Amino acid sequence: MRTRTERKWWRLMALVAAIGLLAAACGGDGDDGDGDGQAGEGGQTVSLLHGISGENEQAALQQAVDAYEEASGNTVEVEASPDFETIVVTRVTGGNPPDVALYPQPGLLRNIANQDAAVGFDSAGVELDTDNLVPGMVETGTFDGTTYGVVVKLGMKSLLWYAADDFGDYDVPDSWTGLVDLTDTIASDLEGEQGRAPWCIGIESGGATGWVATDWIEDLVLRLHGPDVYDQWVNHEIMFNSPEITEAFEALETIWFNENYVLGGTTGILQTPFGDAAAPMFDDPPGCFLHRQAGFITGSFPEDSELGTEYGMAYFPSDEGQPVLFAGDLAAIHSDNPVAADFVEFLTSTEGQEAWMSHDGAGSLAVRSDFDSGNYPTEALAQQGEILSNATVARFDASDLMPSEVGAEAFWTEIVAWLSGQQELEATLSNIDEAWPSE
Amino acid sequence: MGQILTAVAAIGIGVGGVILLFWALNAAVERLPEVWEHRLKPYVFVGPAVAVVGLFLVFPALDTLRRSFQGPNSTTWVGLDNYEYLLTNSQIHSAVWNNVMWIAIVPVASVAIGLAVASLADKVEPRWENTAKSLIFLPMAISFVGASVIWGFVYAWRAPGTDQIGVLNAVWTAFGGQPIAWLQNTALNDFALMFIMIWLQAGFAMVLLSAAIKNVPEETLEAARIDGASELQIFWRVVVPQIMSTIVVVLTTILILVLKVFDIVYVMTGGNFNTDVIANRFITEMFSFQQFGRAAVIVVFLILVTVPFMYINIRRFREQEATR
Repeated sequence: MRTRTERKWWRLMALVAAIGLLAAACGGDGDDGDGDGQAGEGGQTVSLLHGISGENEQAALQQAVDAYEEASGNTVEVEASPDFETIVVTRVTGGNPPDVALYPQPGLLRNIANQDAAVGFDSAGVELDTDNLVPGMVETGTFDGTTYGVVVKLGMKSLLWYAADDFGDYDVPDSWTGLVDLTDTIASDLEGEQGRAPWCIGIESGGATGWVATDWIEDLVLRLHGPDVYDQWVNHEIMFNSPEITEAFEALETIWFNENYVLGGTTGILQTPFGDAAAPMFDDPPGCFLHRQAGFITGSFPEDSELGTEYGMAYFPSDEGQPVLFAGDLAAIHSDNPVAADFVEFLTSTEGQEAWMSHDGAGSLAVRSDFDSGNYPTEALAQQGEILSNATVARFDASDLMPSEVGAEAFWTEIVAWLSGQQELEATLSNIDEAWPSE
Repeated sequence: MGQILTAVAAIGIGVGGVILLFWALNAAVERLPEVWEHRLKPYVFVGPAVAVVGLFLVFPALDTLRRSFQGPNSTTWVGLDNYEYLLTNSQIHSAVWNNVMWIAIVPVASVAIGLAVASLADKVEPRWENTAKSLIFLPMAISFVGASVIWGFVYAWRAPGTDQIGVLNAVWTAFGGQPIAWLQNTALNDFALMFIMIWLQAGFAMVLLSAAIKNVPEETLEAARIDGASELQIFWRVVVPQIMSTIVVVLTTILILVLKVFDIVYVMTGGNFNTDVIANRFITEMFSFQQFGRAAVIVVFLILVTVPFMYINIRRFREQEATR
């Protein structure tokens, strides 16, 4: 009797031990991290949180950080998070904010600033060299008259890519009307050829499918109605179903819904991943001649292709002026650490920008208008820098400025539903308007 | 190196701590008079487990219920606003409707395929039975996301006139058809997605049903044969009634899994083209919009829908255990 109970007891103990082991294994890797944060040697310390992913881009940022540490004697604790948006909200609302954070979405910074969780640049003591910054860099981070952030890294979106080696007699258009005419000319030259069209367009992007289309619409709003309408649209003072925005969608419609203009028609647009979209441009003979995408797309081009031979790059043309659309990261301050202001100033300075953008992996443009384009590591970036410095107007990607219910959902999904033939344009536009949050 | 040491220390303290806790509690109880020792001992051993379940399951569930009555940041009380949103939002309606389709089709189809394979494989020699069953069971080892990536290549679409990289369209165009966007065509896409789930779950159904079929007493089958029943009649009138409780358990288990389906839809279509499901709506509300209240209300709805099936499942399982 006694032995039986004992055996049971030991069996139970073994089970308990196994459960304990499991629990320990699950919790084990959670609590490391601390301990390797060093205090500055004599200098002060500032913490930086960012969501920049990719080894090359991080190395470029590190080059700027190193330059700051050398120049100031302070130490920067860099923390990269692939899940930046969630982490920054958790840490800022949880009372454990980083000193400086780099926001890819001004809309998120605005939300945080509205909750008084960011420090205005005036009270933080940030003095920006506004005269030498590209117009729009400070305005993007200014809400209700207070500046909470400044763009420190810029990606150009208004770019037209074309099959340079097969362009033949075609001229690179210098106006939107010219671009539509060129599209029509190429389409009639290609008539009857299956698997070839003037445009390569692809917007598939997993859960974010649709953002490529919003970039087109934004560029078209800037081109057709200018920055004032654009700003009012971003703030929903002009509705999506207003005549102005409807016109931009109709301009998109003339190209996107024409089966002879786009490789694969609307199905091709919806089914092709944005990174693969331009691939037919490099076929022989080319499957398409034109592509519109931001500067990063060169990373998806064939490795041996070169600017000027296999492909060409030009400004996505406008009938009037030279408006450009861009995206980027804004530096914002969350603490009263005096070094934070100093660090942000450095990031926007000539020194900081040169250290950052001259790195091979940066792939971005400098935010200073006095930046020497000879510093860019590639010819494509140097040309983009040229386009930026000739810009008459620069505006941040509207979908990143709108509330996420619209900018990261309805604006995407309703366009997708429209392209797939589930609904008409009118319903599409009023559905997006309805998704705009009421507060 | 430091991390490994930390991990070893954590395991040591964790395991040792738990053993010590139970040993100490047991020693304490054993000091009590025998009557009390017998009364308290079960609670001493069950108690910690109940506490852990309470902390990690019951408490979050109750907290979710609380949040479903609160605003986006869970700081203000909004009464039934979120419930009104749940009942009136057209996107949630379409997601619920899709879930209903999934529920109606996937469990039945998985069980049907699993049952067919299990009973047919039972009739061939063991070598072939094992081969056939392994092949059907293999997909079980693949995660939903992995399976979605694989099927993404099966359903892939390329412009007419260019090379088709998707298996289905490559076959289809070889026979002279125009490539079909399987995931975009609203008449087909739900089924294309469901097929992935069926592919994954048929193996699970097959394993359990195969075991049940092998448990059917040979005498009952022989009796039916002597009475002159055909093989089909034996299957439907003799085998199926005897494994009914296993069929119901498998059906409800897959059904609960289907209610929670999210990964496949998220990876394949992102909920576009009328393929959204409620679990994906929850992710959107929670992580894209930071609408904690609305996200909570969707979870409450999911729990309410799941409970009856859980109840059936557990009751059936108990019945089955009791008859063993």
